[in-house]
Amino acid sequence: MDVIFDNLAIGFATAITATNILWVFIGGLLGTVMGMLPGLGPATGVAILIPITYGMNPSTALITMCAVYYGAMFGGSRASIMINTPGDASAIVSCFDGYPMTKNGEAGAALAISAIASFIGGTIGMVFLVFLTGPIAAAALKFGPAEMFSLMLFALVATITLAEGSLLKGVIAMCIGFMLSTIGIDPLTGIIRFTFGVEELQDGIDFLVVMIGVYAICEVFKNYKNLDTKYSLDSRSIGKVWVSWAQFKKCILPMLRSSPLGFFVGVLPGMGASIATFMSYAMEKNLSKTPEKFGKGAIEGLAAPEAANNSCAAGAMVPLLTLGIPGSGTTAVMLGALMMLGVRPGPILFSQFPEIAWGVIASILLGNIILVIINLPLAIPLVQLLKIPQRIMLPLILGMGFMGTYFLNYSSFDFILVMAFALGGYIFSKLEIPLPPLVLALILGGTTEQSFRNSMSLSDGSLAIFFQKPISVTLIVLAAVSLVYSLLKRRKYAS
Amino acid sequence: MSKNFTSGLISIILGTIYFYTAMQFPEVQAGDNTGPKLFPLIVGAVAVIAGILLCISDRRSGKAEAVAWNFLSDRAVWIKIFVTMVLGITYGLVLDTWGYLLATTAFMFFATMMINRGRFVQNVLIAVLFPAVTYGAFAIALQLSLPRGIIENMLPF
Repeated sequence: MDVIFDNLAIGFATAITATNILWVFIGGLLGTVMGMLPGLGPATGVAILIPITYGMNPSTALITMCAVYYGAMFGGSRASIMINTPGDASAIVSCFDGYPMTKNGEAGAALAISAIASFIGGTIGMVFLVFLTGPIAAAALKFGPAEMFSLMLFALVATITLAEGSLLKGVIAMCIGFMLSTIGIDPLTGIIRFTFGVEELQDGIDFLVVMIGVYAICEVFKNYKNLDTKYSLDSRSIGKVWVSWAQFKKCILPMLRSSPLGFFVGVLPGMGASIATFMSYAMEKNLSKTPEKFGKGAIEGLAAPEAANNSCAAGAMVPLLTLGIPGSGTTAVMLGALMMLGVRPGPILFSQFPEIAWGVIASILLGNIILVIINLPLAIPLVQLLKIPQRIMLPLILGMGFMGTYFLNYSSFDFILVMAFALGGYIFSKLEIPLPPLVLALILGGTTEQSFRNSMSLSDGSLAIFFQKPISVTLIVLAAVSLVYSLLKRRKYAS
Repeated sequence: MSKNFTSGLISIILGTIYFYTAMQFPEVQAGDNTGPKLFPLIVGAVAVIAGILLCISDRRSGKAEAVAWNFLSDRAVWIKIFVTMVLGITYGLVLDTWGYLLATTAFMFFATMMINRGRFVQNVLIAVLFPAVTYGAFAIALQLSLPRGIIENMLPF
């Protein structure tokens, strides 16, 4: 216990500096705006705001990105509540009762409870994060190549089985991610692979180029269809952004129940906040004495998913910080940005750079406090931004996306790649091929291949090495169970 | 063609090219037993198998859903995507020679003229303000390197 408090003290000493507090505020505000605008989500928000972190030290950069992430999670429900259009997938559930509350003349209460629930969810998530990260990182330090390979395999299988749609399409997406990860010089032998004579590809494809393409620019492509969408927003009818004690009392238990649920969903690779919010909503509806009120403006129907959403964001930080495995699209973008700054999240981060790892964890509490301050008194001015038409926002996103791309390698060649990946992402969306397995395989591809090859070297080419270590066997069994369960579930659903 | 069949076909083609290319790598085993070929060969084979299975399951299911490319009904969207790609690649090609301010102003002007049609003054404002603000924030305040060209060389900073 003392160790945890010592580490937290290091974290707060890193996080609470004037510079970091300023960036948490700026990042949180920008993230709130990004999360709020329909069509953009936290992953797009972090992807296009990466350039602001380029001049920073790694701690401040990660703290700022976390603030953007959390801001987007706070802001996601604003559009759900005011215009019945979710800012991102995780805010869909907030439409169910948030918008009916607005129609019932309770928009102020809806905006307030969504900010308060986000704060409570985020804070509870942060407490779980504090107690879980240390032991997981310590255990992961003992992992050899076989355990690492099995861990990657489990993460990938979990992402494929939990992704929406066809299992085989998930496998195809994973293979394409692996194909992209193997482009360039093989680090073990120096052989140039899959560059097809293009010199610029010899160093491989920077996965942030892929991220900016498939998230930021591809979102612009998708939104070309909605250029003339106009949202009717009457901000004068919002009233006071606050909740009565009676309303708050109704929400206490739902928030306390949904926060741990959201956190543990967030820890699992590929699950994501949208699943957490749907699960918490279903749970609260089942537990409620008045389930018939859900969908008609029940305040607890808004509070529960909002709390789950933000605790899920804290949960997603567990695999990222302790194992270097991103649990969601947003954390994948954050991982890419960090690697560009020379920091590789994983167990070593906690032993070699505790100030970064614990600074980030401490900044989550700081970010939550700042975000609740931003989202309560500034709620009314912030929702005015929903009036900005897509036709103004989209060129700005394009501009930021290209600028972020240029800063990665100062290479104009990346512009060609980013456009190709944006088109690829658009085609994938038409074909309903899930992106998370591709993204995860691209990020983990290098480590997966290296740990596989190192294991094979250690065992003289025998696959038995993966079944000799208890942790490795456990992870392989978990991957197999996840696959079989998913297959049975899909077969049952199909019949 | 259906969504599943098209996806399967793409996977088979990509997997085959990838597998064939991996076959051409030299046998180097310095440092590890497996060499640079085995992992890509496995990935290529899995892609081909997954593609074949997807195509077969699509044909067997009998409820194939066609891909909604909508080339005609969404013609305007596809044209915008094509123009954005041309603009983006051209932007990359001229960025180093023209410098950030001029190249970005030109890119933003054409991008806004395409997306925000009929609002010339608004578009000119965005095209001028976006590069000016971002240049101020990144090149001057954050001291990040941005390509210098005609305009940047005239600036005192």
